[in-house]
Amino acid sequence: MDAPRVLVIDDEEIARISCQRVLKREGIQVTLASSGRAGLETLMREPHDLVLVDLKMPEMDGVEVARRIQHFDPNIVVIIITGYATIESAVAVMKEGAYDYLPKPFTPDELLIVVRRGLEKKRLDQESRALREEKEAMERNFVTMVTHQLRSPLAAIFQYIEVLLSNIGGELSEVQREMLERARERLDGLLQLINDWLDMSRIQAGEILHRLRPVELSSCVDAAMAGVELAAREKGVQIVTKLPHDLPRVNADIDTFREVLSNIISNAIKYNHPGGSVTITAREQPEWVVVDVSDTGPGVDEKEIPFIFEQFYRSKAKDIRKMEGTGLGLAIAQRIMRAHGGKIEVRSQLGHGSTFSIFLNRAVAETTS
Amino acid sequence: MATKGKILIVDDDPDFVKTTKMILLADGYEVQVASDGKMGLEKIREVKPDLILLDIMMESIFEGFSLMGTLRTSPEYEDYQGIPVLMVSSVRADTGSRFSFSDEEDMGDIPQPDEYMDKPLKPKELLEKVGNLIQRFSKA
Repeated sequence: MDAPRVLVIDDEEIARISCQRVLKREGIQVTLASSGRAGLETLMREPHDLVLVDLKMPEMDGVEVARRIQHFDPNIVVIIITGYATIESAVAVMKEGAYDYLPKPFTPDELLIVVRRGLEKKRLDQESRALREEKEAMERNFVTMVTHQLRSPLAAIFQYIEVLLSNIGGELSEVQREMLERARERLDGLLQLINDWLDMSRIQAGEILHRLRPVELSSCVDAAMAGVELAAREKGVQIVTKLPHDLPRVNADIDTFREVLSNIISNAIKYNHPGGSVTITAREQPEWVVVDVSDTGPGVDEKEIPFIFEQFYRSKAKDIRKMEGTGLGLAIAQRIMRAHGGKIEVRSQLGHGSTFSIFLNRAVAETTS
Repeated sequence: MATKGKILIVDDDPDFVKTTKMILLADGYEVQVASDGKMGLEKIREVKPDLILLDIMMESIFEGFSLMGTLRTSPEYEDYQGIPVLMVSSVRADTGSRFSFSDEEDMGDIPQPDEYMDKPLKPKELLEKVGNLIQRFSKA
């Protein structure tokens, strides 16, 4: 390890020299400065671990020097040497960020004890900072790494199936094709699960709050609709959108809110009868703007309602079990809305369809026109 | 026989390379393969491909990006700078089309690829993107 570096700032030459002599014997590298200004200049040029500074100096006193060092680099440990070891002066310098003070006159041992303790603190600070940074970097990249490890082999398998299904490897029999198509479906489900899980771990409430902007609800609904129209056509489900024209704007993070909308709407299509319909309406409440998405599907059993927003929960109903799903969609949607300061609620009756209501904060009316 | 173009695949996953190569060959492209970034850079000079299909994560997380950086900024590769790069990865793009790691700092000022696709590649989508890219860049 490098020798610790200590800077001694004192206007008295004898004081500087004697500090240097004591510290040097301990293998500490010592730099001297005869004024606060000279000391600060030295610090700018060369890094130091600890600074001993005399309180009483002409021009710039120790309190001011301590304050400036703190401002320049809070990691430097500052110890004040004071001739008047009054409580007041000690409190004043500690307030400016000094770590400790040393009353004059002091013995070599007293000096060493204070300096060693200061250097030890600096070392611990550095270690804990390094550990914290390492931990943060690992957390940041953990999800990415895990995803890569999980997705890479799946992607390779998937692509083999894709190539076979496009007849590049030769003609397939009807039975082979069917089996491969089924394999692809299952694999698709697995990839979806990993993606959902990844989304889940990425939703950070603070970040969403930070990105909230006043937005037009209708534009979000339009954007979400674009992604679900194909599924609706395939299932023969009709989507009816009836939004009032005079709705106030809502506070939303466009990207994640759109995800919520498209999740809820595509559920309403997926868990619907062929030929059924989905109705999207909106209403105003004192605090909220509420989007209602109603379907003509089989409905949710009253007993199941408390659980449907839980992770990995899937309905016990037979015809719903048959469908592909990860059990994460609603959990993610609810989590996103909570992060918005809103919520999702559901009303449903077996055999009579369901209505999912998305509650959003209305945007504060702007004063400028 | 005239081919539709030369494509260099840079990827360390042999299964991915095999299937991607089959898709491209079946559509009439000539295909070259490099299994790491260093070999990739050598092959670029050797065969001067019309398009590079580049995996982001090989031996290290950023191997693909580092190849991109060399290709786009190093004077040694001046003659090859204009080759379009289609970057692929099994790490899904965060949101939308712009690819990024969760940490912007990790990205630095790395040049962006011309196009990005998630693995697994679907044959139709791959051929469409490859065709468009080659056409776009041959005109330029």
